[in-house]
Formats: sequence, structure tokens, C-alpha cells
Amino acid sequence: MNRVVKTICTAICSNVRDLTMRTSTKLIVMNSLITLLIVLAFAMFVLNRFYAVELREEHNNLEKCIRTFWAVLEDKGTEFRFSDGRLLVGDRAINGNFEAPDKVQAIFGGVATVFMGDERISTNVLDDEGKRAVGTRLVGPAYTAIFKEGRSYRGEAPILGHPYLTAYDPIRDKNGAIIGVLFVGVKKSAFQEHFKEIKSPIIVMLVVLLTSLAIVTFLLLRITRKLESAEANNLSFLRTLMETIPSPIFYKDAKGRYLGFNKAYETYVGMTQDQLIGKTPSELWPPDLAEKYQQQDQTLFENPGTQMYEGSMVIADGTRHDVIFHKATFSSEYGAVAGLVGIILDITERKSAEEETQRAYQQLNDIIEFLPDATFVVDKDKRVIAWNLAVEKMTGFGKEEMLGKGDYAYAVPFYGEPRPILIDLLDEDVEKMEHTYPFIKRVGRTLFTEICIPGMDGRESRCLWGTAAPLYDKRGKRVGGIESMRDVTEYKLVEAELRFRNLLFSTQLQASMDGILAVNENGKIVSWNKQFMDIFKISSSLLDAGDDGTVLKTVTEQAEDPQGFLERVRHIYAHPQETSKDEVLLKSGQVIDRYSAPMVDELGRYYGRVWYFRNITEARTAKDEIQNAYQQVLDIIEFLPDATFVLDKEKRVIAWNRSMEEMTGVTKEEMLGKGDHAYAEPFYGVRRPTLIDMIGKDDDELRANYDYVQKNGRTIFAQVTLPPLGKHDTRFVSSTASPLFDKHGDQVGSIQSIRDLTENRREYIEKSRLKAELHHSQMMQSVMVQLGHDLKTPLTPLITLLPIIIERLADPQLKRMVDICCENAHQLNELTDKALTFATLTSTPASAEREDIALAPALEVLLANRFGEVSCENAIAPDIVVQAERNQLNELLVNLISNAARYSTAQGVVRITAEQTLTSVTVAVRDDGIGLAPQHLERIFDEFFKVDESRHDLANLGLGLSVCKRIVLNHQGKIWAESPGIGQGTTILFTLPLNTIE
Amino acid sequence: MIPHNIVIIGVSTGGPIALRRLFADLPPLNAAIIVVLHIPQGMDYRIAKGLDAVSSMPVALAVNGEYLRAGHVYIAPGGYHLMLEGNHRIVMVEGERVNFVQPSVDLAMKSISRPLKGKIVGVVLTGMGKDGAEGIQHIKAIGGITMAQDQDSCAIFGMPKAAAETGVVDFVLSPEKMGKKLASILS
Amino acid sequence: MDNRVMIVDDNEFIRESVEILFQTEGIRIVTAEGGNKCLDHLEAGFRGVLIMDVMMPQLDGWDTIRQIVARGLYDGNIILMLTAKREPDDNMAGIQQYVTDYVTKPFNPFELLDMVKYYATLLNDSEHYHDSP
Repeated sequence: MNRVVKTICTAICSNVRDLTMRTSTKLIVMNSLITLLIVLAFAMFVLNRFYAVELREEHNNLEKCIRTFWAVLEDKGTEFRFSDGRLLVGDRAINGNFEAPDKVQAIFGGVATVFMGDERISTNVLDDEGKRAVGTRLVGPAYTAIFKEGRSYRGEAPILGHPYLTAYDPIRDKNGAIIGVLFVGVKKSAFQEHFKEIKSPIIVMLVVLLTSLAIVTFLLLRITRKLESAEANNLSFLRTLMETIPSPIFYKDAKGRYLGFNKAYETYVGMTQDQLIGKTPSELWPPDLAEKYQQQDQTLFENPGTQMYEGSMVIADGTRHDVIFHKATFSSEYGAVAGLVGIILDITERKSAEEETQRAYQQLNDIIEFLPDATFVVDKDKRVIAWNLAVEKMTGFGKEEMLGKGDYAYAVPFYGEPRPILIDLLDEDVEKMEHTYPFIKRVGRTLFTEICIPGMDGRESRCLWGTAAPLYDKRGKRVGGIESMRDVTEYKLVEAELRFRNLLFSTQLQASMDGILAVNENGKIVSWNKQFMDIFKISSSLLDAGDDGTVLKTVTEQAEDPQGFLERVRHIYAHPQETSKDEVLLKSGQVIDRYSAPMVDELGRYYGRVWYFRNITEARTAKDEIQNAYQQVLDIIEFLPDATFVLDKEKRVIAWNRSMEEMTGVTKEEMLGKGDHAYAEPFYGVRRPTLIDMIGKDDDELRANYDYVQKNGRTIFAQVTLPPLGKHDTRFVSSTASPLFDKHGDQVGSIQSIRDLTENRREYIEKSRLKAELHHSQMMQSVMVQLGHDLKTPLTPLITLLPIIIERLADPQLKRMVDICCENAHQLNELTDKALTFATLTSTPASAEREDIALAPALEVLLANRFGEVSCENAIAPDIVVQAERNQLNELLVNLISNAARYSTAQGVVRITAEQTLTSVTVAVRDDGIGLAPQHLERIFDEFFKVDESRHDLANLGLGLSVCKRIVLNHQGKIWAESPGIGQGTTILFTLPLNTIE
Repeated sequence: MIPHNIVIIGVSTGGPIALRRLFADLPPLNAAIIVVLHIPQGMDYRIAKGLDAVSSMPVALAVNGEYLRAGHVYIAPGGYHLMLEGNHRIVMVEGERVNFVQPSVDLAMKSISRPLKGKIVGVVLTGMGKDGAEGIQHIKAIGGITMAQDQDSCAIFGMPKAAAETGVVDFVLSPEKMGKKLASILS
Repeated sequence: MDNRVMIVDDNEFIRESVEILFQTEGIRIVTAEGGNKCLDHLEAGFRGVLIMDVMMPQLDGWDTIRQIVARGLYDGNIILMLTAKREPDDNMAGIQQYVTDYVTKPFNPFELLDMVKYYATLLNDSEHYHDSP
């Protein structure tokens, strides 16, 4: 349905666009016509201008020419007169004298003539025969102008077939009577000559152009009209189409005013065309709706294309209906948005259907809600739409936190970060996932998995069984997914416990000195050990077969009294609850202690029976038994971690263990059997009594010999410092000595073990020293902080009152004195601030409160403060992040920048850059100032160091860079200075650890 | 006439003086200006009167349901949270304190939505705490311009510092420079 | 014009200095050597600008403000805190709306005067409006 609506919408749009185009065709024709006319007029104008300029130039030339002619003539005299039928100038006759006209011709290249009366008497105008045209007469307008009107004449005249510009001036005698004429003619230039020729074709061309354009226009108009009628048809088709569409359709212009509707719309809203057309939404609809329409129209116009949104409308019966608006813009051929077309889909009924679906969903949700397994559901955009009680309980994340969240938010409660989980792997290949999940299986579309999730937020790690399945709607379209989980941690623990117990059991089985055989309730052998095989010399293949009968037969055969042995076995199997204990004599002469017990669980269930067989043949003599036990003890002693030795009654060494060999460098072979305090030599260098010899001595004697001694029953515990010996320095050891007794209570020997505590003690002493130092420095710092704050209190009245005193003082000297006091009070205050900062910074270890800080913005904040006259340039890349304690980092940067500013040139630039390596960030603060001598590069970080000792700059305590150093050291960084030399600027560089995240 | 431009100012301790400095030389702006100051009831209207005396624009306590007008300054009254409805109507909301305070700058700023047209400017001035830091991030996120007062001119460099440290603040300025900046952005 | 200022500080020199500072300007000022005395003044009807030290024995500045608010004595006053520390004090959380300004010791006397005068005008102005809110 939507697609259909969209298509119609687009179709209407394009038609409406054509409609607008039609009017524009006319416009284009008109425009080009007007343009052409303007071009034409302009061309004519320019042409005429050229002509006029050229003409003026020629006229100037002409005037110059005739003035020159006058000058040439008047050179001979100023007065013209008749005499003897000749025209004279001064005393020279002009008749027949061609000097003057020829001179003019030589200069200007034109022609020149002198008339006497109206007769040419001196000229270089040639007649048809090529002779000077002397004697001919002046005629035409020039004659009229000079002789009838008495004025000069200027004009054009053809001379010998060429157009000439001509000038005639009258020649007057001293009485002012006209007695002759002076003439010059200049040939017109080529341009002038051809102007007329050019002008007419241009005009003709333009006229032709105009005419053809007019024809084209006419034709175009005709075509347009044809098109119009075609479009009118089209439009009526469109109108019909629109009318037939049952959905209401409207269109608006770019200002959001209604342009038209279909019948369905009119019916839908219950208004007619007249009521609607040209109106804006706010004139037609309630304000809240109109505002929304206008907003949406605005949005559409700003982002032309199509638009779809849900809204509501007031329909004919006055009720509000929920509708979907499909709107699309149409544009003029200039690309500007010309308006929009909209189709309305009434979804009120669909809405109620949706609500029905919603209810069904709600029911489903309710079911999910109370599922015993932790379950959540996502929609097709992987946003959480259900998050049930069990999952809330399991994760501690409530519905309100999760519902509607996408971007893998549902993984956060489990993994602490958004990441794909089982539900996201529904379409993956199971084999691909096998490395991610210890167990994963797909049955149909459902995934099963088992996974252990690392512990987080103080919670233990957990094991989960997970199931995930896609959800489909009834048409088979995927609409989401569901995942449910069961916490099997407990189960897993039990399982692990069980595995452990099995292991324990089988280890016991194998480690036991007894032969063991376990038989289940069906008489099958389920377990045995090596000892069992050894005692009865039974091969493992026989036992592996698991048949009790064969094994029993083999064993019975070996008994001295097979009949009795078998009877006993039968009796026991017949009475499963019985335990039995007896001795069996084997044919080999061995005596076997036989013990049997049923395996019964807490509920009394019978699982089978265990048989124990102990070879007691050798254990028959008591002496052997003791020997055995003794050996065991010695074995144990051998592997004791503490250096241990044992003495017999005669104080001879009978055990000297491995740790002892390591500690003393003396081997068993060297020591065993030795008496006479030989065991003291590796410790004291001489044979002398040791702790083991103190057993039984009274307390006073003990205390006299040992730094620390304590008795616990017969055991003595002591700590003693051993003197340096061989490669050993002074050693500090703790030692335990104890007597050994036999079962009759007679002392048979003694044992001593020794542990070297030297390292521990050194560490302990170092720790205590550091602790004391730390305590001391903390105390000092807190004293300084307190002092700093306390100093502020007495400074307050000083700084408050001194300015008032200064105001009231009249004596300038006194005023200056108090002024100095005031100044110093201020300096005292600043020093206090500095010392306070130093103390506070050095007392807080930076490691505790480090955070990731983006360097560039942090610096930007600091640079908002002014640093004298210098300008600061933050050239740090925006993505560099460091780990630091914020206040300390700020202090560090401010100190370095103020320092750079102080030593910079006036109006200098301080540039801060940073470079990132794999593990750290190096920050550089560069100034262009006074620089540093090489020998000062390292010393500047010392407390109270000043490069210029003579400068008593009280405001600068010389602590700045040492504070910086302290801060950088607090952050496990380095700080150093670089300078090419005096006067060439300084760069201070420091490193900070890189952030840990990512 | 619905104003398209909104300036929202969050401020606390040291606020009245900072606001006086900001408004003293501020020409009328083509924007509705909302001031969220941490003040108790009974104190609010005094601040408004004090500011009205120095400001070129009318300053008044905001009224519930009132529509914003350009060139007017609205002070959020104490005891309620102030929020904007559809970027043009003032709503007072009762409720818990947020960031220990009421009205909360964060709440007010976050009630502004991305404007169809016009500019939003978020400003955080002197004050204790972190109120406004989240708000200023929101303002930036909806395409607004952000400012914070600089340390030297602050009575307490708490709120502006927290705001500036979010890394989304465009300008860190003294109130006087802030006034000039606002004027150049909005007049 | 009834400019009234109260300085609350346990240090008598600071108290006296501030007293002199304001008296020179002809502004009426009362002094209190601790939070309790301050509360007494308020109970006795004082209304005006309070300049209060943070660190005081017995009742400190923050607790004094809590008392003022709890006893309903806040209305008609403006409170400025006086402190030696430049850093924000976390103890202020929860009562910060009653702290109108923050003055760091030692302060510039003229700036303090200017500030207190401005706050005093806020209080005075409002008295005119009080009858017809």
C-alpha cells in the first residue's frame, strides 16, 4: 500500500512540475527577446560612439590644418588685398604661387586652395587632366556660407571620388570685406569611410535576427499552446486519477498554502475547494495540528524528497483521526522547491488493530516476564523489547535501564561492555563460533551454548547455559530474537567438585599402600590399583575385562585355603551391608590383611563394595615397623622447606636436609654421623652449643644467649644474629629446636630447623624507614599547608587596612612608606600561595586519583587565563589523552607556561606541542626568549635555583620548575630542558604515561 | 513571535556579581535569555530586580507556562526546576534536588531540543559543584555554542571547570568578553 | 537607607579591620565572633549582608548557615563566605544556594566594599517591593 501511495505521490509531483514548466517556456522566449533588443541597442550605441570619437579627431585635424594654412600665409604678411587683379598678402602675390598650399599638403597630406573672390588662384587640387585646377570657381554650400552669410564653412565633400572633410574660411581685407577664401580638405579615415557600409549590414543582420526570433517565438508559443492543451488533457487525466484514488490527496505551494485537492480530501475534511484553496494550515486547522503540519512542511522543504510521518487530522465529523502523511516535494526546473504533494492514509482502524497486536505482545511479554530462566527479547533492530524478572535478578540491571536500548547494550550486564553475544550469532556458522564458545550447538534455528563469563563488579565469574532463537511473524518474516540463560555456576561448581573428588579418589587409590578393588552392585569391577595387581600378580588386561568371576578365581587359587577364602567372599556378597576384616595366608607365604566395606550413600543406597588388601608379611616385626616409620620421617624432613637437622641421643647428626645443604654449603655426606657440635661450624665457624643444645635449659640461660627466645612446651623458638662467616655477611635467623621421643617417652634425639630472615629483616627495616620518612614528610607538608592557611589570617587585616591608611595619609613620604608595607604584604600573600601549592602538590601522591585527560581541551581551559603579553599557541592534537591527576597536570602546565612567558620576548609566542609514542606522551613548551646556557639546563629544576642570582625577584620563589619536576616524577615521567643557547629560546619537555583505555 | 535563539546561563556562588558584569554592557540580543541561578525562594526576585537595573533588556522572574520572547531575560525562581517545553515555553517542575540544587542547570539545559532553526548558546558561570557540565554537553550535542567563565574572574572555579573539562566548551572567557561574544553571535 | 553588614569571624583583627572598612564608608556594621553570636544577632532582628568566616571554633560557617536556614532566619539576608582556601569546599554541598558569594582571604578591601554595597542594594530595593509582591 505504502509503495503505491509513494508512486502516485511521485507521479503527481512530476505532473505538477510540468505545469510550472509551461509558464516558464514563455518566460524564456520573452527573456531572450528582450536580451536581443538590448544587445542590438548597445551595439548601435557603441558603433556610434566610435564614429563620433573618430569624427571629432578628424575635425580637430581639419582645424589644425586650416590654422596652419593661415599661419603659412600670414608668414608673408598680415594684410590681404587686391592689386592688379591679384590677391596679395603683404607684398607677395598669391596667384600662381603654390608654396603655401603645397606646404600644408606636405604636413597634413590633404588639399589646400586659396580663392581670390570665388576663383581658385593657388591650389594643389588637380583637375581631370592632372593639372592644378587654377581658375575654377567655388560653388555649393561653401560659396553660400562665405559670400552670402559671411561665415566659415565646414563639411564633407567628395574630392576626386574620395570623401573629404573640408574647411573654408573667408579672407577679409583690412576693411572686413570678403575678398577671398582659404580652403583645406582632409581625406576621411578608412573607418569613417566604411562606417556607413558597416552600419547598414549590421542593422540588416539585427533586423533579420529579430524577425527570425519573432517567428521562433511565435512558433514556440504555438507549440506551448499545443502542449498546454496536451497538458490540460494530462491534467484532466491526473485530476481523474486523483479523483479516483480513494485516499485524500492535497498539494501545497512552497509557502505551505493549499493549491488543490481531490474529491476524497474534500469529503474527508468536509470542506469544498473554495474553503480550502490558498489557505495556510493555521487558517484551517486547530493550532496544535497546524503547527505540526507547518513544522513538517518546513522540514520537508529544507530536505526535499519524500516524507512520511504519523499525525492526526480533524475530519468532516469533527473528530480526530490518526493518519499517516506521505509527502513529496516537487521542484521547478531551476531546482528550487516549488511545493509539495501529500497523500493521507487513515490508520485509525489500523491503529486499533495495532493496539490489539500490542495487547497480544503484552501477553507474550507477561509470559516471558515470569519465565524462570533469565530471558530477553530484541526486535529486528536489536533493541531490547523484553527483559524479564529473572534476567533482572541475574544481572542486577532493571527493565527501565535496558528496554529500548540497542547497540548491544544487552551485553553490558554480562560482559561489562557492548559486544555481540549469542543472540547476535543466530545467522553465523556454528563452526566459526566454536573457538568463542566452549560448547555450542545448533538445533533447527535455535542455538545452545555454555559459556563462562568473567567476574565483574565484584561478582564471581559465572557459567551460563544460553539458548537463542530468532522470532518470526506469522508470514515468516524475522522480527527479532530471544535469548534465555540459566546460571549453571552452582551446577558447574558441583561438577568441578565431583571431578576433584574423583581425582582425589583415584590418587588415593594409586598412592595407597593397600591393594584396592572396587566392585559395583552388579559384581562388575569398576576400580583397582597397582598394589592390588602386585599382591595377586594379576594382569591389567584381566581386570580391564571387568569380570569379577575370573579375578576371584585367580585370587582364590593363590590362597592357602581356597575353600575358606571363597566361602568368606560368598558370605559377604550375600550380606551387602556387612563389613569384614580378616587375615588371609597365601600359598606364597605372604600374609594379607583383608578388609571389605560396602559403598552406601547418605540415603542408604548400595553402590557396590570395596576390598582392601594389605600385605602385612613384612610388617610383622616391630623393629621393621619402627625402621619404616623412621625412614618416612627422614623422607619428610628431607623435603622440609626449612633448613633442618636431626641429632640422635649421642648428639650425632642423623639427618641434614636439602635446605640445610643449600643454606650452609655443607653436604649430607660431610655431616652425617658427626658429633661434638660439628653442626655448629657452618653457622658460627667454631664447634659450640646451638639452640638444639639448649633444650631443657632454664629460661634465664636461654635469654642470656638469644636476642629473642620463646618456649612452647618443650619446643624452643629463638631469633639470633649470626656473625659474618665466609661469604656470608651478618645473618639474622629464626630457629626452632625440639626433642624427639620414642613411644615409651624416652628422648631418642632432637631436631632443629633454621630459617634465614636476613632479607626479610632488611626489607622490614627499609619499610619502616620509608614509612617513618613518609610520615615525617607528610607531617611537614601538613604543617606547611596549615601554616599557609594560618598566614592568610594575619595577612587579611594588613591587606584590608593598609589601603585605607594610604587613602587617608596626606604626607607623601609617609604615604610611600605605607605603600611599601602594602606592597610587601601582597608579596607575602603571593609567596604563601606558592608555598601552599608546593606543599599541597607534593603531599598528594598522584597515583591515587589519576584519570584519563584529553590534553588539548585541558590546556585550552588554562590558556583562557592571560600570561602577560605573550600569546600562547595550543598545537596539541585533539586526540591525545594522558593519565594524570588533574590538579597536578594543570599546575604543571600553568607553571611551565608562566615560566616560558616570563622569559619570553615581549609579545613573544609560547607554543605547546605534544607527541605520542606507544607508551607515553611527550609535551613540549617552547618559548622564543632568553634561552639557557648549557651548564644551567639541568640545574633549573633544583629547588630555589635562579639563573640570575642577582635578581631579587621576590614574586618568583624559584620553586616553579621544581614543582614541575615533582609533579612529573609523581607521574613516573621525565622532565628536561633544551636550548640552542643564550638568546635562542628554551623548550621544556616532559613525558606523561599514556592513557590505559584502548 | 517565537524566538529562534536561546541563551541559557547556569550559575551559582558568586553569580549575582558575575551576572552584573555580564549584563552591564550587553546590548539587547535577538534571543530569549534564561538564567538558572542556585538561589532559594525569596532571594530570586531580588537578583532579578538587581539585574534589571543594570541590563539593557528587561529582566524578570520566569513564570510557569510563560512563552519566551526575544530580548527578554528570565530568571529561574528558587524552589522549582525550570524546563523548556518545545524550546519556547517555560515549565516549572517540582521534584528532587539534582546535583544538590534546585533549580538545576543540567535539567534546564537538557530540556532544550535541537532547534529547527536559530542558535542555542549554553553558558556556565562561577559556582560550586558540577551542575551544568552534563547540560553543556547536551547543548553541544544539539549543535549549540558553549561557553564557560574563566578561572581568574570566578569566585569559585567549580562549575565552569567541570564544564570546560568535558572538552565541549567552545569559549572560556571573562563575563565582559562573554558579553561581547554573545553580542557578536546574536545581534 | 539602612545599610547593614555583619562580619562573623573568630579573629578579632579581621573583625575590626572589616568594621573600620565599612564605618569609613558610613555603612552600619555589627560584629560577631562566632556562629552563635551571629545567630543571636539574627534572632534579635538583624537583616543585611553577612560576611562569614568558614573556619571558626565551635560552630563553623557551614553549620551556622544550616542553623540560620533551620531557624527560618535566612529571609532578608545575603551571605558571603570568607575563606582562606581558594579551592571549592565540599562541605558546601547542599547549602550552596544560600551562599551568594565567596571571598578569599586576604581580600581587596575596595572590591569587598563594592560587592557588599551591591548586595545591600538588592536587599534595600526589595523592601520597596515587599508590600506589593
